[in-house]
Amino acid sequence: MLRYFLKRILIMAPTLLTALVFIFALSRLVPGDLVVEQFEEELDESRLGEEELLITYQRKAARLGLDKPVFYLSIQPAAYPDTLYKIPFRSRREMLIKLLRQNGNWPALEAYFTNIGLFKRALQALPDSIQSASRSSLGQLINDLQYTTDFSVARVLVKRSSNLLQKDAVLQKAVGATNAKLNQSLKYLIAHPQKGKLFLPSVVWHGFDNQFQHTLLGYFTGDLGVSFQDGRPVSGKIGRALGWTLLLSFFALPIAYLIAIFLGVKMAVKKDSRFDKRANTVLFGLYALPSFWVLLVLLYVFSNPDWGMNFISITGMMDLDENSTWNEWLSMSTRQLVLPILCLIYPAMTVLARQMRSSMIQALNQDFVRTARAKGLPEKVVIWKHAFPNAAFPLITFLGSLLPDMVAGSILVENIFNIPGMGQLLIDSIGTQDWPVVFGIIILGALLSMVSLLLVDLAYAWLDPRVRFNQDNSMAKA
Amino acid sequence: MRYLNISQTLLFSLLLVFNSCQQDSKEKLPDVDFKRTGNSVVVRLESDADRLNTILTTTQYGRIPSDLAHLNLMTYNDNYELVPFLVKEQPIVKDLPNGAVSYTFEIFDEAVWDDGKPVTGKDYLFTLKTILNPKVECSIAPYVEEIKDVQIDAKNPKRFTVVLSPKTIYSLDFATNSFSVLPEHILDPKGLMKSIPLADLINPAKAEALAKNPNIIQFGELFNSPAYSNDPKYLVGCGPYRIESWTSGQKIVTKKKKDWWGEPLVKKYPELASYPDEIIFKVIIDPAATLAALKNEEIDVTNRITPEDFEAIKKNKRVSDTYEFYTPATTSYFSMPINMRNPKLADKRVRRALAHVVNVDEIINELYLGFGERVTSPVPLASPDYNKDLKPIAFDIDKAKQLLAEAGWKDSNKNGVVDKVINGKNTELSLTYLYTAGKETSEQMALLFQDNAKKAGIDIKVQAMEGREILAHWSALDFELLSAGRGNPTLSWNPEQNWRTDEDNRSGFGNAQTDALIDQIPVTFDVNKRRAMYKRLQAIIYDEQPEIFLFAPKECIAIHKRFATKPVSTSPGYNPSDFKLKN
Repeated sequence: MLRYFLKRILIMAPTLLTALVFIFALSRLVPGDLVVEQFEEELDESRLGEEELLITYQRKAARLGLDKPVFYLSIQPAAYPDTLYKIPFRSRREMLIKLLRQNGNWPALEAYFTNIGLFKRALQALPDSIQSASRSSLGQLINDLQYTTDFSVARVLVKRSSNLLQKDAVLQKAVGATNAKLNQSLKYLIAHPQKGKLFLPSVVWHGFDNQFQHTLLGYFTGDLGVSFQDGRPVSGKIGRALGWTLLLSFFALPIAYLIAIFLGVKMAVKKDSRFDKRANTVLFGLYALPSFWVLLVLLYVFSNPDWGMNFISITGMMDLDENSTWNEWLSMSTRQLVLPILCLIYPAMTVLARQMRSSMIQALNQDFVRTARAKGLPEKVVIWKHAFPNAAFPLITFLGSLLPDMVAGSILVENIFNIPGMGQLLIDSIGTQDWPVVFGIIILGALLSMVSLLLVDLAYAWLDPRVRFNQDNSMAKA
Repeated sequence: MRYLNISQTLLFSLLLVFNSCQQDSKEKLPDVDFKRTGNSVVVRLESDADRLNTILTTTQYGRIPSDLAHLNLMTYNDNYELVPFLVKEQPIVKDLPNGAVSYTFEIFDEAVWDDGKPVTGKDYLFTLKTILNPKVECSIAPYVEEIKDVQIDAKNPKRFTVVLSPKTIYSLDFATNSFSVLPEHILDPKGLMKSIPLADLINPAKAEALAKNPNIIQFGELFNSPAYSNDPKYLVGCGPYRIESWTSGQKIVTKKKKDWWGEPLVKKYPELASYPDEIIFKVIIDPAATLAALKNEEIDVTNRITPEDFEAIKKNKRVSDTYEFYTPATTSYFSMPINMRNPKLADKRVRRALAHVVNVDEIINELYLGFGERVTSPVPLASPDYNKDLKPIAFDIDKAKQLLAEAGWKDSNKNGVVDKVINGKNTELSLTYLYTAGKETSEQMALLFQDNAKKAGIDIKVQAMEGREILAHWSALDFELLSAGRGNPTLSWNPEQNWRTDEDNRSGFGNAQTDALIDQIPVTFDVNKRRAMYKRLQAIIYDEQPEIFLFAPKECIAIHKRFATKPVSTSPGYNPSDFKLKN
């Protein structure tokens, strides 16, 4: 059994790694610029000069660990530079890639882009005493140029800037040389495309100091990072919320199984009876009801003082603290958690009961059951001692998916009944774009799914020696 | 004052409410048997606080509770004037050479921290240095960058002078109302920041050296640590309330200090008044759960009720017997920014034609159930600077057709969409409109716009996008038309950030004339002259229509009837410390 357990654990490792890689990739595919989102006010373009803006961005990116390459290596067209990830601002990076895809000459493009920055800085450095129509137009023009991904538009804009400077001697003196360089670099870029390089693949090795390695090491050591929202460790935040979610599942799962087993067995024993037909209809009905709707109806009905039914209190659990007595904890928890648990029970119960019924019907038609009856054993013994253990196997299989399903279901339940569990934390974190917490919860979800499947495997092996035996046998043969 | 960044404006996270409310609070307690009694206020928060450190928090959910524990030097009164809050009187103002200005303040003699130590100018200087510490994750540094010096009176540390340059209409606000004063002896017991001169912190040339200074690093790490943001020991201020506890994801408890030093001063300084014994913030995210909490009388105040829910609960006798309802206008507004750089949209007649095909009244009445007020400019509707002479552009398809024809757009190929030769190419007036995915009102608004535009021969392709993706397109100037919400945290409007040609001006509006006007506004100290400038700028913006200005949504608030209060001019539309039990 121990050998079997260890083998299952070993098989889990690559699955977990794949899940982590997938989650990491997802976290990096989130639209928008994480650095800008987290430090939006500090990266206010209207208050910072171009140089200060870039330095601030790099400093903030370093704080989030986003100044490093994403992975060990990247496969990209040969025209792309090795240090693309170092360019501040995702929007600028994407704009440069768009231009690069059209031209392929990175050194020339880099020079052109540097000259745009220099021109912008030169304009920003002009004394306030120089105020003219040309200065305003140049400011607007350089902003447009910074985001232009069309070379013909860029050419028009640069030409327009030269024309403006020709008419304004003061500005020409101050920024004329920078403008000339910009003009020259654009001309050179357009005249010297290297499109061939765009079709050649290249593999760039970034080394071990990358975002993936740091994140993965963090995952394995239980360090899920710190919350963007409040700077607290993610693991602590999830740990506190997990308690509530597990509490709900801890009650919901066994109750769902108990009801399903008794109902399913009774339906199978009384197959095609009026009870069976009615129970079937009810189960189908319940299964078809959307859970969010049921949740809202229950909340509406059982928290409605107009109908004298204000049984649940939305904020009741919040009033419990370290000074509350056990009695208060118990009475409040019982009152507050009954409906949420009921909401988690019913979808699971409908599936399990239907499954129990069909596998029990199959088991009751087996020869060994007929033999047991022929031996004159009481019906209860036949059902529970002979037929049920054989019919229960599919229910174990369901455990693998039900536990994660229940945790997922708690997202809705916790949110509507205001329970500060993982579901509510997830919704709040998505709303505030607190990605370390969101991905921490996803990792935990993945882990929970794997642990559930492991439990199912172990339960199978424990209940049915054939599973264990077959595994050991195949290993011995190998 | 703080200006909103774009995502905040989109989320309308900071709302400002003007003083006039549609329903005055009644001073007398109605004859209803309330379930909730007592002088404890329960406030619903729709999201948990990020941090409770007053200068590190970036959300209103953190700011509202933390503000109860702290005081700024000055605050805005009901007439939107800066009045003393922690200082005895209006400052002595001195104009200095090179356009600088100095303000001399004196903190109340009575003002003390919880341990009895006096609040002094040293605490003010310490707070300022903390904000400017490059290792402190504080986002309000840009608002204090004009403060150049703080001189503390050697004989009386409660008296100090703040020097700002250049002098603008915002200078006093920057010096007194952009941050609360923090206790130096509690937050920096080792005196790490004492050895760092303010001059070094504001000198960009010293930034690199400072970033390596061990004191700066050590204090930065200390101040950024979770304890400084959530441990009540470090959340102390000189305000009337003390933060007692914060249960993450659940509630924040604040309690009124016994024998608070400011209490005897309330008669002379009414802004110092605070009534509830306890203010508890409870996190209820789900709107349905919030309604249930209102019906069960579990909370005393909530804002952000959707118009549909608001209408429904107003009809519920139990709720309307227990709660007073308020619908003040906000300083936020919805609009459709247009990319004027696009050759199809370069002609203002096309942009005005687009404005004529948006049926704003229908949007307000049908989609927002009347909870909105039309706007014609980016200035907050309640601001005295708002240009009321500008009339909303009427929904008029014929006028739109006429403007398009004047601009040379005709349906030459008879396909129902007008076209024109631009840069030698026949171009159809087909535009892509980006709207926020998953929001029903946003989608309906887009479809309504599409339908009406079609009648005028404009082909609108609607595209749903995640909010942040729209922001990315907007900031990269990669858009034609999109749906947006903008907001101002205060009634004053600074056009520099979004309307100056060389700033974050995403529509491409402006010229030398408007830039000059924008530059002149902050240095025009004559209110009437300044107001005339604001109005002129709005008239130009209105004429050019770089954005189609739609409407300012109204805030929907419910407040328990046992309290008398009035809406205030700060987010979120009410001040929980101003909730006074009725007789």
